Amino acid sequence: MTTCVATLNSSFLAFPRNLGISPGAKAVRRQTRELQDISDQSVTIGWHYRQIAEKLFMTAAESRVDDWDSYGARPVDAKSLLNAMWFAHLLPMTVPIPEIYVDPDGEIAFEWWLSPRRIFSVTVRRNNELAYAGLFGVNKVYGVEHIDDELPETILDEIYRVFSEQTTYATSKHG
Amino acid sequence: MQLASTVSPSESLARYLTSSKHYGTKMQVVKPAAFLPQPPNYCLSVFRVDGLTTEHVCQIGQQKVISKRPGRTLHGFANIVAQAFLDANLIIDPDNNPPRHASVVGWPKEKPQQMSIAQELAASAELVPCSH
Repeated sequence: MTTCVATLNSSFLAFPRNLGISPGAKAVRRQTRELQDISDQSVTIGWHYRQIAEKLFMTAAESRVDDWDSYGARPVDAKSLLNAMWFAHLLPMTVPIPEIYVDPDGEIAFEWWLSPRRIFSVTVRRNNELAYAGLFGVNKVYGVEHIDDELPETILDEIYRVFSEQTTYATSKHG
Repeated sequence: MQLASTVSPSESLARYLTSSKHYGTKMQVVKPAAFLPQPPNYCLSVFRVDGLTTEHVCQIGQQKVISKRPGRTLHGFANIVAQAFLDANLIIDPDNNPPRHASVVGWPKEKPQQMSIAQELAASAELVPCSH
């Protein structure tokens, strides 16, 4: 008997990355790419990703030159941008559209912000790390995860945490 | 006015906002992006602005930060007391180069810690727009 284990992804758009080199693997990769293109163009499934991708490219374009912030910032890092595109694919549609920044070191950051003390940021690093930090009232979290075929659960939980109070408030107000 | 050779914890410091990404217009707040240190030395440039009018602070920013870079806009500044940096275990070096300038140094090397400190600093800062 063959046991088949399906990998759970956080997003419809996040197909597991195929690193194989055989002709079969290449064919699967091509078909996956086609399927992903169709999903990206879908009005319902693709809308969320397109909104983020648009912000991502606009922000990258604004930061493509040296010293774009007048303090000596580095231009947007190509590897970080590529990783950020993959990260954007991993975000489920239930996650609010983030603000996107280029850090002074050229790496791309995603930010979910409700108030100055209700915020969570993820920097998608050129070395495939996801550096994150959050401020929730007086409580702080920070750490590192790695980019994979799924959005790390820690990161997803902290994104939802930013908006959890709002949800509770809305529920209690209408309840 | 002669500035003291050390920065007092209660002193007001200005971090000039040179990008529209440095602040939020709806809520009139400073964003953490304004407080991330600059590589490769990981320092943050601020100015000592105690006792100055908003116009004067904006004028300094225009002259010392923006003027050498044509086409750039000074959006405003983040007003923050020195104590906020000290609470984060950072060091304020009043190098006075250019006059009133100070460098905030002693940042941790790890990016998540830098991001966390920038979030705390942004939450402590007040947004002051510069009119054009």
